[in-house]
Amino acid sequence: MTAIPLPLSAVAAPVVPMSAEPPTADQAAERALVLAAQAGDHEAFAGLVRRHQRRAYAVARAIVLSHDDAEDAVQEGFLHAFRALDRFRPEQAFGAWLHRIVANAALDIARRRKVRDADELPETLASPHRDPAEADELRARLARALDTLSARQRAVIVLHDVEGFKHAEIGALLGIPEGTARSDLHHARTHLRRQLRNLRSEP
Amino acid sequence: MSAPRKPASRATEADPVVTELLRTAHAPPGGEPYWAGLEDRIMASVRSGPARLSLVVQERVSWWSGFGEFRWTDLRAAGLVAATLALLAAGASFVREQADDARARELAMRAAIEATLPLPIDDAMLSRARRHLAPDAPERYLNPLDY
Repeated sequence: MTAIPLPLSAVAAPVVPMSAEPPTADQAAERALVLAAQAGDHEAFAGLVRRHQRRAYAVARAIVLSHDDAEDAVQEGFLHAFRALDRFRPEQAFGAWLHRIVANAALDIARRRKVRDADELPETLASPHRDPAEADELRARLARALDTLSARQRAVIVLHDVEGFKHAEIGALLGIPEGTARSDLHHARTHLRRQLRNLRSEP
Repeated sequence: MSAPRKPASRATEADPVVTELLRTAHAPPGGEPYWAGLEDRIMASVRSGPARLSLVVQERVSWWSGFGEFRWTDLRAAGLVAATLALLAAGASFVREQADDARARELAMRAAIEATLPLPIDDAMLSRARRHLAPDAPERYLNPLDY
């Protein structure tokens, strides 16, 4: 079987340079790992996976609706990143480059899921993967409210409010202008606030 | 001088309750064993190449999976085009058959007339004969009372 390559834009951009300040020990260690991985060292790439997989999962989970899809996106993202390593320039920030690739993989999965499994979406959101409390009423209401948001608005509010990404970073991740990310965040917050308005008044 | 920015309205600020709900709903799986397992799976896919791609990707690369991506709208459009072409072909065939039939009838009639005459009818001869007739001759023959 052959792999479906990600679009070139997913692996070739954006260039996110590291700060002009001298690299910290952590950045230097990461750069060493990147250079070794580019030379074909699998253990070095495993070190990069270890460093970035949690954040990559968070990015993917903000975009797709289920834990399984997020895991798929992370795996595909790392695999595509490994294949495109020769195109990565070590002066870039590896994390930002990787997150863009994972976000693209997640967006791709979300698009395919939307076409194929549209009826299952609310269920996949509500289905617990580890948290037994996910079936309670609040969670169900949140799932319903999130389902009424667009996929992009949902990703933006989770990336910003939960994961702490900045508007510009979210724009780069999702391939949208910063102003659009800002506007999506505003609409998503307003919408969720309205949908869950009487949350506090309930016992 | 630019106007001072308006303070963000309450609606644009993050609602702590909603944010907490979102955080819980999107919480990553906890525990080191999970992350170690995920790392192993990622590295296994890296080492074995494309064969370890996720199911979502794998199901797209089967030769028959392309059929699943047909949309009914595409099929409807293709059907309309095919029906239009078939209709045009049938129309052209009908017109050609009509022309052939008319020609065959004319030839048969001509053959029948020629069989009753001692000499074959020659178009040139007919046109020569017509030249000697008055322009209104056929009208006169057909409607003699009018003349």
